[in-house]
Amino acid sequence: MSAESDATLTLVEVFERVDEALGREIAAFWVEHGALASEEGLVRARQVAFVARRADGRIAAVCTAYLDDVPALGMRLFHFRTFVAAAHRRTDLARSMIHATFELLERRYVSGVDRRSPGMFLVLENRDVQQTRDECIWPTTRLVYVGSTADGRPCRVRYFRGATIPA
Amino acid sequence: MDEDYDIVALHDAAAAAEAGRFVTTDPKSSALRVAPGSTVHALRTKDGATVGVGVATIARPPRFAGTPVYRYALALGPSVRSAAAARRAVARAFRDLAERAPRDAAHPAGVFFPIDPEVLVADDRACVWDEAPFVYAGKDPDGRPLRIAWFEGARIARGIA
Repeated sequence: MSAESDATLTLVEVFERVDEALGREIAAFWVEHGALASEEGLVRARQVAFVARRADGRIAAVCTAYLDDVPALGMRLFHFRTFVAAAHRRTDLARSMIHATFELLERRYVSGVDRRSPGMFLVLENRDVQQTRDECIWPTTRLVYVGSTADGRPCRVRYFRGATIPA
Repeated sequence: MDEDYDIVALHDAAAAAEAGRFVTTDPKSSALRVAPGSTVHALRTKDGATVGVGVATIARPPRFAGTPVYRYALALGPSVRSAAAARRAVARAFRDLAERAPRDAAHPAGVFFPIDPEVLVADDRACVWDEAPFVYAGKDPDGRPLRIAWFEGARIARGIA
C-alpha cells in the first residue's frame, strides 16, 4: 500500500448506520492490519463513526465513537478511538477524524437530536504521541487534558457547546 | 454589588495580612491558607473594602500526573457570595495568573479550582464556563466539583503523563 495525502482520502460518515456488509469490510481492515481479531472487529464495527477511504475505495482509517462511563468525571461520554493504516500515519488523518467526529456529535447535541452525553472523551494510547503531543490543550482539536489513567495514559475531553453536567 | 469590585493582586506580607484580616472577619473563609509563594487576589469595592480573597498556591495534584498547577481557593463575603460572582472572580484571577506565568515545565500550567460548596452553589452546571476556560474535571473524594483551566501553550509534565 502506498502512502497518500489527505487530499486523496474521503471521510464518510457512518455513525449508527453501519450495515452488515460495511461491518465485515471494517472488521477485515482491522484484521489485515493486526489491530483486532475478526470477532471483536465485527462487534466494534458497529461503533464506527467515520471511514476514511482511499481513491481506490479501500479503507485507510476508521474511528469509533461509543458511549461509556468515565468514572473520573462521573458521567457518560462519547469515547473516541481511531485506527489509521500504517501508510497514512504521517498525515493529519487522525486529527481530521477527531474534528469530523466532534463536529458531528456536537451538532447532534446542540440540535437536540442526541443529548445522551455532553462531550467527547479520548484516552491517548500511543506512547510516542503521548510524548510529542503533550500540550494541555491540543491547539486545533481543543481537546483538554483532564488527568491520566492509573497507568499514565493522558485523558482528554472536549465538551459540546452549551453542554451541562448531567444531574 | 457583583459589578462593584475590582480584583487586585497582592504580594508577600501585604497579601498574607490582607487574607488574614478577611479570614478573621468572615468565618466561611476559615479554610483559606496563604503559604509561602502564594499569589493572593483581593476583591475590593470602590471604597476599598475587601469583600473576597482568592489564594493561588502551586501544587502538583496526582490526578494531573505531577504537572504543576495553581490550586485556587476562594472566599467571598456575604455581599458578593454567588455562583456568578465566584466564576467572575476566578476568571479574572486566571487571566492575571496566565499573564504572569512563564511557559516552561517548572511553572504552573494552569489553574485548578476545587470548589467549596460555600462558594459556588448548585446552579454551576455548565461543563465549560463562559467567563474563562474552566472545564469540569469531576469531583474530589470529598465530593467537591473540580475545575481546571490550562494556560495556552502549557504542556503536561514531560515523561510522566
